[in-house]
Amino acid sequence: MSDNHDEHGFAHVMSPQILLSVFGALIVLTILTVFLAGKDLVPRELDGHVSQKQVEIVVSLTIATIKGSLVVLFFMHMINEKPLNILLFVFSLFFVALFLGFALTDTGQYDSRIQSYELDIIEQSATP
Amino acid sequence: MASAVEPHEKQDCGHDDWHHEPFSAHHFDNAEQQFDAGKLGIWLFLITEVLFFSGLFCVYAVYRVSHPEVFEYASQYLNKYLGGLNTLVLIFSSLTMAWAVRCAQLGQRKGLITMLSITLFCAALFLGVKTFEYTEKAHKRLLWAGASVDAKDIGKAENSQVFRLGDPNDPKNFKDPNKFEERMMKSLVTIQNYGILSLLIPAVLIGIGYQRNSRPWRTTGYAGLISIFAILIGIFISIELHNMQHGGGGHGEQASAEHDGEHASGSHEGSDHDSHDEGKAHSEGEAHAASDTDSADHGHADENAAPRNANIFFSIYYFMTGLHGFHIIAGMVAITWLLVRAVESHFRPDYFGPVDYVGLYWHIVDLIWIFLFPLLYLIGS
Repeated sequence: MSDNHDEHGFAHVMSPQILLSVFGALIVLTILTVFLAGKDLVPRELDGHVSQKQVEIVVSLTIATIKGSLVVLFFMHMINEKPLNILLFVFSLFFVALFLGFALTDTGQYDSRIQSYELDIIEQSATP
Repeated sequence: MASAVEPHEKQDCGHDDWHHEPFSAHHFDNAEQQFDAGKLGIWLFLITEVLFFSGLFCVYAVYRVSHPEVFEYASQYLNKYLGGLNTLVLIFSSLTMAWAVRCAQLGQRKGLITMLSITLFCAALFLGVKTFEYTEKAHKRLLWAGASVDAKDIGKAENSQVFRLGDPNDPKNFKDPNKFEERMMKSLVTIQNYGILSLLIPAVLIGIGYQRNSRPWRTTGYAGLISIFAILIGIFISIELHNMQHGGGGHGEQASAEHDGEHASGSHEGSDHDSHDEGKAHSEGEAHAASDTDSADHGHADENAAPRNANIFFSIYYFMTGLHGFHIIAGMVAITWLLVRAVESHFRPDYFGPVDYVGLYWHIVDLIWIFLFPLLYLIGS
């Protein structure tokens, strides 16, 4: 970022070093996430407490979040962004979290009804 | 307002004549204000994009929570190496786009044109790989829920709930099941052989440009040339990757000779049965071991083993990747527009807004793919 701010103060130029190192990090993380997919990631002491799938999704989404943050911070110049724009973006993430959170807490609510409905179906098909 | 503006304008001595610049909008005080207004606008748009996609991520999350088995089962039909390749391509295009913004900010016209061209190339390469993926899935009948239900069966729950995988070796689903894999390769090889004709469209555009001595037309043609060429290369690369994974070492070598036509389809004739039946044994190289087990599951996937409603995974897959692909196409149009303007030397250190805005859009598209990739491709492989 040092090689600018000459005449037009409003351009925040990213230096090639930053761009290339962010790119390198993204590539390494992508290879890592492909490599980790399908590996047994559950630590021995947690064996039986958490399932492979749970660990897998946490690990892959953590890597994706790190990659996403790198893209937003450096490629999208978020580190030099105006506070108003940062606030807007953070708000959008907040509302996404609310949306997903409420939807997910609600999904389990009807399980009992679904199960009783499915039991009915089975009973019906069992008695022709 | 006007009185408040005036002293400011006088202070800003470098931009006295700013209102006479070609791309200044007269209602802004100066270049920076115009830039910031545009930036706020593009951020608002990106926020709507994030919220828009979050609806689909919500569908994904709710369905995955309630039916995890569907995702574990169905995601084995996605090739994580092709998905990974696409991820790398998009990340690289993000780098070149960020670099294009840098070039525009520094007023480097040549660098800007080069970087935008590479970005466009990568975008089209991504679409080429996706073309292969969609074609392959369509031929395997891996479609959205209800896609292959007969009209007369619509409304009968038991039919729509069966996972209707058109297994390559299941004679019920194909008139000539032995030629299944070959047929799939054929349709792609047709693209490879005759796709070159699609270069005609950009050629015509370039021709018009020369005739009228119009640079924008020529640039548009050039952008089209890059895009179509890159799509063809993307299809070609994915076919090679597919051959390498499914046919073992020798097969890949055979087909890797640059052309394609008879090789790809011809060699498949012989070996696609191997690869789907007993040929697993001679898979060489540890690198391919994982994918070979994948395709072993493929070949022997039993319709009965599929969980109920497994097609809904593909509904989600097609909707999310399809919408993302649509955004890629929109991005390509926007990048072509930038290219035209860059060639016309519109951008300068105090007027680079459009490059920055399209860049932000492009990074959001990349960002969405960064999340789509592990969620769709990397489940229980």
